[in-house]
Amino acid sequence: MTEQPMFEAVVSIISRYAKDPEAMKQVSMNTSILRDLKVNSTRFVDVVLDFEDKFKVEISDDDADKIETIGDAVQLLQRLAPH
Amino acid sequence: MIKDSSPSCGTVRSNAEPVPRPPWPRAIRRQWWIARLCFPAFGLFFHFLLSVVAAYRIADLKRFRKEVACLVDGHDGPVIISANHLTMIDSLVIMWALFPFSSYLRDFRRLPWNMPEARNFARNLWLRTMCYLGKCVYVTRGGALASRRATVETFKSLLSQGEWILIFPEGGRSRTGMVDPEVATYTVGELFLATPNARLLCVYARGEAQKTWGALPKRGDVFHLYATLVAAPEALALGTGRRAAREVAQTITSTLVALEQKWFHNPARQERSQPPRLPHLGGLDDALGQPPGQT
Repeated sequence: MTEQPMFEAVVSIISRYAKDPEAMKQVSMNTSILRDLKVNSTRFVDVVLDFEDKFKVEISDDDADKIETIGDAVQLLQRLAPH
Repeated sequence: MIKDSSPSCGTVRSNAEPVPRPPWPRAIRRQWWIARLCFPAFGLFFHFLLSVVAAYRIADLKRFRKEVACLVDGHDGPVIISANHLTMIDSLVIMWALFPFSSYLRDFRRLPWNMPEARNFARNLWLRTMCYLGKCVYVTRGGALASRRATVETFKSLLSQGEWILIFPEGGRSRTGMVDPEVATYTVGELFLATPNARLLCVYARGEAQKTWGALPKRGDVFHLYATLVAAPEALALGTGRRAAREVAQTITSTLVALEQKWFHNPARQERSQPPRLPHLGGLDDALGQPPGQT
C-alpha cells in the first residue's frame, strides 16, 4: 500500500481514540500519537490491536514501543503489510 | 467469566509452575526488609489512624475475612488484588480489612505491593516514607513508556517471588463514582498472564457515605467490602499477548461492576449522606473530609 492510503487508514484508526479533535485536523506524519493527539497508553494498546486487525499483521512489543508518531506507524505497517 | 465467591471457591490456575524471572532488584529487596522490620509499629500506627482517628468501620468484617480466607487459604503463590478506586486511601482500607494484623506478621508477602501515582504520593518526605514502608513502587501515569515498562517488570519480579500486589484497573480514581470499564488499563492483564500461578482476586470497597470520588472517606464512615476470584479462561485461550491482557482487564472490570451492584443492593447497607455522629475533632475533620462542626 502506498504511503497516502496507509496514512489515511492509520489516521482513521487513531481518530477513534484521540482526545483532542482539534489536533486531529492538523495531523501529519510527524504528529505524536501520545503527546499531540493525547491518546493514553491504554488506548494506544487498542490502537495497536486495531492496526493488527485491520492490516492482518502481528506487531511485536518492541515494534509497538517504537511507534511515537503517525509516520512511525505508517512505516511499520508498510514494512509488515506491504500489499 | 465471572466466578462467584461461593464457599467451594474452586481452584483457579493455582497448580501452574511459576515463571522463572530475574531476582528482585536489590533496592526492592532492601525495601521489603525495611518494611518488614518496621511493620509492627507502622501497621499499628495505621490501624490506630483508621480505627480511632478516622473512626472507620468495616461492616460485617468477619464475613468478609471468612470469604477472603476461603478464596486464598492453601494458596502459597502470588495474588493479584484488583479493586475499585474512589479515594486516596482505598489500598489502606482494603489491606486493613483483608486480614488481621497478626496474619501480616506471619506472612508479610500478603501485605500487597502498590503502584501509587508519583504526582500524588511522592510530594513530600512524609508521603514518600509511608509509601516506602507500605511496599509501594511509584508509577507516573502518562509517563514515558520505558519507565512504565520498568515498573511493570518490577511487579512481574515481585509476583514471581510469591508476593501479593494490589492494582486499580481503572488507573486513577473513578471520576463518575462508579466502576468505569471505558478507562480500564491493561497492566493488570499483562501481570496476570505473566504469572501462571497467580490468583486474581477482585475486591470492591466503598463507604456508605461515599457518593463519588474524593480525597479521603468521611470520618466515621462504614465500609462494605466484597471479594471474588476471577478465572478468565477466555483470556488464557488467547495466549499472553496484549489481546489477552485486554480480555483479562475487561473481565476484571466486569467483575468489579457486578460486585458494585452487590454493594448497592445490599439490604444491610445504610443509605447515608453523612457517616454516623462522632465527636468533633477540630481541624482533623477537615482533613478527613468532614466539615468542622458536623457532629
